[in-house]
Amino acid sequence: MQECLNSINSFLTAPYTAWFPITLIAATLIIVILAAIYLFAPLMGREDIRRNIGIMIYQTLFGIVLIIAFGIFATWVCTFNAESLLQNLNLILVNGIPSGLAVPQNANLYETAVYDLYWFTNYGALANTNYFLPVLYFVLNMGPSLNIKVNFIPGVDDLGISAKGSFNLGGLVLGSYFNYVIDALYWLFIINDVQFIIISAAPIIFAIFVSIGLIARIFGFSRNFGGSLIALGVGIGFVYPLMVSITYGFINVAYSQLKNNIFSNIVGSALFSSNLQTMLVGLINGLAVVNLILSSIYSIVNLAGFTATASLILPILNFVVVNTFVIDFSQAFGERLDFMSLLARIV
Amino acid sequence: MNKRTILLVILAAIILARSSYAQTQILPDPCYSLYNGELPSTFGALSNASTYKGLIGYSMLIILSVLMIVAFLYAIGIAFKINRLISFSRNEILENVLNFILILFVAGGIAGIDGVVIGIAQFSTSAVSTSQPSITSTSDLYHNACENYYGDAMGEVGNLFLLALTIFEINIASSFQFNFMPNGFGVSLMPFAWYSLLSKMVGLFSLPIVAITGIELINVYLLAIIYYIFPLFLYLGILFRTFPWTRAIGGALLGLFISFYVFYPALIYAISNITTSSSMQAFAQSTITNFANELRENFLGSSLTTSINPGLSVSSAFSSLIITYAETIAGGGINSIGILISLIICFDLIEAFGDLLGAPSLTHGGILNKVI
Repeated sequence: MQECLNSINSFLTAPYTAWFPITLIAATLIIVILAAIYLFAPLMGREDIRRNIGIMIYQTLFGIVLIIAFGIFATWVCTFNAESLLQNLNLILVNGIPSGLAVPQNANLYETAVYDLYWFTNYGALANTNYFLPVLYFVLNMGPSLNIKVNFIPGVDDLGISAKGSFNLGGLVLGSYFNYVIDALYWLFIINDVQFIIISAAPIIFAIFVSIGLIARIFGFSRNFGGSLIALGVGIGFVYPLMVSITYGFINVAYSQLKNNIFSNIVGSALFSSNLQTMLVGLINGLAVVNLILSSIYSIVNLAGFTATASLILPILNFVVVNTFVIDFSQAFGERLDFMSLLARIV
Repeated sequence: MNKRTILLVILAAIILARSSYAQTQILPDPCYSLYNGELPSTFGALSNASTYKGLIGYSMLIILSVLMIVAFLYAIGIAFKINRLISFSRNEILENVLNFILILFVAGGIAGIDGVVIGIAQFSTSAVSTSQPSITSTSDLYHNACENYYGDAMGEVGNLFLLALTIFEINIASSFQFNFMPNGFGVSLMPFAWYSLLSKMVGLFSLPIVAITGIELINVYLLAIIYYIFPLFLYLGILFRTFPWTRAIGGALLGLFISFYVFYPALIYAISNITTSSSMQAFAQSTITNFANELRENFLGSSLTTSINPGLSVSSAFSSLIITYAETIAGGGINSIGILISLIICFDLIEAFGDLLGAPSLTHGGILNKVI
């Protein structure tokens, strides 16, 4: 929290960026000049100028209001106890945390968003998929092979019939399946890390973009540009962490609950299918091993499906909402800014 | 080891075995966990008395504050004779009235939304003769749609196992080798070596099966994300709509909520009833069979098999295997198409609601289509 405040406060108050008083003085001067023109315009018989100046005064006053509102809003965002609110909504994981990792207590929006993404990547669904999937791939590739060789004359190798087959599931169909999923997994890590970088930079993006935008909005010629920057700053600096906190908070909580359902049946179905007698029979005739393999595969397929959905759908959802916000907010304040289309074109 | 220890071990084994008595399923059942109260619901948390009333109260306070600001702006507009400001202020008053109505809609509660969702699902499925269980609540609807697609996805994984076994058998057959080489000189014959071609062709079916499994599993968990997260968009949408500068994003969030929380599961449920119906599956499979038979008669039966291995009449085994897997894929593929159709309809609905609720970014040519 303190780091967040420091990053914004230092930008607001540092001598080399002492833009706050400068902007207020500039805005006041602009208003005085505009007011003078407003008063003298009728004397020159220019009612049209008078009307335009009225709008300019209103815009400048609005700019000052926005600067003050930004200061209040930035302080609120950094000090607001988002963790408590999200915990009330069951949107932050607080149970089953391993020792050595602390749940951020009374944390702000940025800290909860970073915590949620960190948990998802290092302890949650993505981490578990990254662990279990290659293990399964390795086990499947160790599958047994079958070799039969019949010789007409014992001791003469090249006279007879031979057949060989490999029951190596990993090397055949299931191997290709898990290969696709493992390939996809590394792309999901990249998407996740991109989000991590954006979230880590969100407070400073918020401070810099909104501040520059507010300064630019004071002056008539850069008003549209300023509005777009404000929209981008608020979108990435506030809406995006909010979305990440909500979506990944839910995913972590849901996964901690689902994990038991997904994995608890592996040993149960393999060893204790109905009762002690069946369990012993199962162990003897090999059914337990088959059940163990099948339920492991089904469980890991489920885990991969859950992780893929969370890692693919949630970033799309978060970016779509942020982009929609930026488009609409920038239109309200200045020029229309559609940064995802721009990025898509570049890509 | 004394008797007490032996007794304790036996007792522990019995307790362990009995405690696992319910775990007879090889398949995990995430749908049950997702929709039977095991997961904490954000919607439930937001619907409880304190938070819910708090939200309504805060929304009312925000509307009042905005009205005061609008009145102030109206006064400035009158004082400076700024027509733009006057019309803006008047428009804001109307928008806040609409917000007030939206808050009343929320106050109508989840029961109202439940009614709409269930009504759409029942109406959509009324045209299809179905043996599906009746839908009595939103969670029922999500649960049943989840079970439909989860069952099909896991069925496809089962098909992958069968495919692997088939390829295993084919590989054994193709590797049969007859050696007549006493003293290291003679003849070696592999009459079924060309089966490896069949193995490779059958192996190609793994990719569509994987794709179908992926689409259906993603749909299963997408439904859960919609069920638990999208209700927040309703509340955030109303809050954002209160402020003039965030009204568009508020409308966009409401559009997302209505399209995906209300319409998407109903569409998915209705379409899955159609695509998983026995008549539709039979139709898809018979279509595939007819095409495959034509192919066999015109190509495989005459040219290919006779040119590769004229002494063996294996064309029927060859083509029937291909047909079997093509039919399997057709069954799952038609379900996946149902998901894509529902998504397209919902994106169109988002655009329509975006227009209605003043969210220009969700109108035609919007970002969602670009992303997809």
